[in-house]
Amino acid sequence: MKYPRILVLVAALATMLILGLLPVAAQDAVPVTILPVTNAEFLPGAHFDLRVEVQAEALPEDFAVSINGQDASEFFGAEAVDENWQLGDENPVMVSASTWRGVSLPEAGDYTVSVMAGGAETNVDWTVYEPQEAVAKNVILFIADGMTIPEITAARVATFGIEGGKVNGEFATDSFDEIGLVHTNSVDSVMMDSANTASAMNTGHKGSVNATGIYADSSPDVLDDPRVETLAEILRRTTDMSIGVVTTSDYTDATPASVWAHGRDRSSGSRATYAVQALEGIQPDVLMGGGAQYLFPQSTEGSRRADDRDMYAEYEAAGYTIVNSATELNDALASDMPEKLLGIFHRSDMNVWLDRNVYTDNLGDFTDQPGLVDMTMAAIDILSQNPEGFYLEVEAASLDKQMHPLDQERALSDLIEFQYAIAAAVEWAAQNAPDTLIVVTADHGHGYEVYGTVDVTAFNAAEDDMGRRQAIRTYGAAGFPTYTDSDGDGFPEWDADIVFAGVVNNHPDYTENFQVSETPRVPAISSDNGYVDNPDDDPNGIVMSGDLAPSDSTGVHTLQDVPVFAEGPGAEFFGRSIEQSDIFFGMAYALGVDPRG
Amino acid sequence: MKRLYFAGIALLLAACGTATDQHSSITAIPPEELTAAADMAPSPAAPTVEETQVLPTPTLTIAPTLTDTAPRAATPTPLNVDLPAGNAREIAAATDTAMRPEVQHLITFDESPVSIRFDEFYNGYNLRTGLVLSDKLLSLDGQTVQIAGYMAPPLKPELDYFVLTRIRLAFCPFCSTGADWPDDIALIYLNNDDTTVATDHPMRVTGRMEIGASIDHETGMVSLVRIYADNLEIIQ
Repeated sequence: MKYPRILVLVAALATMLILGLLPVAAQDAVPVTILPVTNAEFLPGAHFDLRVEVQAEALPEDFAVSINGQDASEFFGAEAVDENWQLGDENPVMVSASTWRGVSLPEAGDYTVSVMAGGAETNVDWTVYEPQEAVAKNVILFIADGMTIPEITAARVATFGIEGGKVNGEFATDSFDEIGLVHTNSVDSVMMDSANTASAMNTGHKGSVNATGIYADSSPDVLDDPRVETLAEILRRTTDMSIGVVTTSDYTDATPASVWAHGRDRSSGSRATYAVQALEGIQPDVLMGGGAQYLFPQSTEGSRRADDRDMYAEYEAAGYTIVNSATELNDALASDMPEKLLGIFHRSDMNVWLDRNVYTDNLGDFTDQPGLVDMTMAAIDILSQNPEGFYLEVEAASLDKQMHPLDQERALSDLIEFQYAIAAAVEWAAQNAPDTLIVVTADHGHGYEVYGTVDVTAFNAAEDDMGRRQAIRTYGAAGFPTYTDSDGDGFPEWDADIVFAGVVNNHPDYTENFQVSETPRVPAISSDNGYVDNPDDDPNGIVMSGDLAPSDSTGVHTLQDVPVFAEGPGAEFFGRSIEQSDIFFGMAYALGVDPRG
Repeated sequence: MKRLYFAGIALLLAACGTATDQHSSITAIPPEELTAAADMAPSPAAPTVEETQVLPTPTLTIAPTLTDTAPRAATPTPLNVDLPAGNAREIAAATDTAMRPEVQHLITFDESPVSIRFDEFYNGYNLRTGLVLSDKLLSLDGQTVQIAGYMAPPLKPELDYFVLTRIRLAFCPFCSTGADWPDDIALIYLNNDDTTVATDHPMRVTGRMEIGASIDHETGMVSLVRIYADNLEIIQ
């Protein structure tokens, strides 16, 4: 069959068009990225960097950026800096970018950023909210890293027991006025980590995984990404309030550093930089946690710095009182109350409650670490000297750090300690500063849940996995765990006869015996085929076949909403379903923050 | 970290000029007079970095394996005449100077080579001064030692050293951002003519040990313990 030549030509052209092989008008259009991203929210006057990236050797001739129709440089009263870099190694593309640093949006309202590049227009929409009248003098943000409702429930039952079907006691957060749900998703992923989640709470901007205080750009430089201002930075710039950061992790880790830091990743190099940024930036009045390894110059054995800065000396020169143990902390508070305190109690992350108080052989060289309650109250004692008020972030870091290796007892003990720290702060506020907003939340979830109990004697007597599974009891057969608190310290003794059947729903190949481990768990070890069961971890446990990529050595974060609890003036903002970035606005509104000064 | 390191490498390379094919990848160490602690005489005041810099740079080339059997004090790490005093030299000088007086209890060894394990390197971590080096480690500066461990995945094939670790590493920390080397490692420098093949098997290294912070100028890697290997033995 013979088709007219014109029909063949039209069909061929149509096919080429569909396949994108023919030049059309939009061919010159180039991929454009605008940072901050669409749906970004601001307070008026909050500082940020606007970066527009174009995937091209150079900015197109028609390149133009406007804010609500006005040229961006005119709008901001600032000039952009143009840069370019190579993106990717195997199939590299050039990126050209224009960046306006340290700009702000002056008034509440809706803003549209339009970028013309290669004949095509790209838009993002931003919203600026009106500041509110101050109702609170102080804000304390408690973050339990990786805390979930199932963890709270399990810890509550283990701590208080059940009588007549009712829990025989309550945690501090159980009596909070407001309870809400927080969505934790990221700019670049449905999943999240502790950096971009804590950053969302501290800046009001969602971010990319591993990033803090920035919108992640495509440049190879991890410290040049466009920044957003943190609550603490705004408070430093516009008020005389004090700032405090308390954590049980290395103090340059994601959750504490999000109070002041700006960077794309969580590498040692960036952490070393965050230790510098704290000092050269807002200089928190109180910094407590671990992390000595980022304070030594690189020539000191045990340093993780890659430069020659002696950060201990620099903090000291900046007026910090430095303490390295619980004893030194108490002594410092008992003498002249320091105005600025740096408390470094561990080389890296501090030890968990269970190791500090029960399995003390695991402490190694760090036998005199303060607990979270003592650190929290020490911070409040120092910060509350300031009549202008304070912002304090307190992190219980090791729920997450112990849920990763699937260690339910170490994680839940730190959750209980976290609740006692909250209780101490609530009591302090009630007696001394009722105009204190206390917000308690988590940054992301973990897949831990209790589904019954385990008869330990039967489990340990079994000779194979089928026998061990017979020792797991569900529904009515589960009965109750037999955790007790015979020493009256407010924490359950975990080595009971009937324990929680509690597991994490994502894991490498490993074995689980549901019983407290005398040493911190290492469920999987590396092999040529990725991570495999560690024969030394729970050797008598049930074999659990991995449901993660073999390259994952531990459990990972999960998608669920995390809870938020709030009490005090401004708390009503939080009693609903919110984005994690809204926590920034709730705190800023309560303090009456107006970044315009 | 990687980025910082490579920035450091670039700086060092710029400062160092042309790399030689000798053991020049060890950054120069303080050209100060050796303080003999062997006789347990009181240590003189440690020279400052400024003082050491005005001293002429000795043209010490790498010594062949020392089999000096007499009890002796810490030795300086070999100097490289091609390296002008730069940032790396100051770093190494500062630590080497600060470290040497801490040989409180010099240990003498009857055997040679002396066996040492990674878990004998350190005696705790001081939150204000960092890892505390054990008397045994300090006393082995310049001595011939034998140590067992694993070869970490090589940084790149043409390097003249590899990293010996206590535990087998599945990956090269230096090659991936964000990862760290463990504390207990030693840099193993090969003889010029030696080539070696990466192995997963444990290995035993015999050679002269040098203690003192130093930066490998080719990679920017900071090391405390280096061994100039005479013999590598795969333990099957």
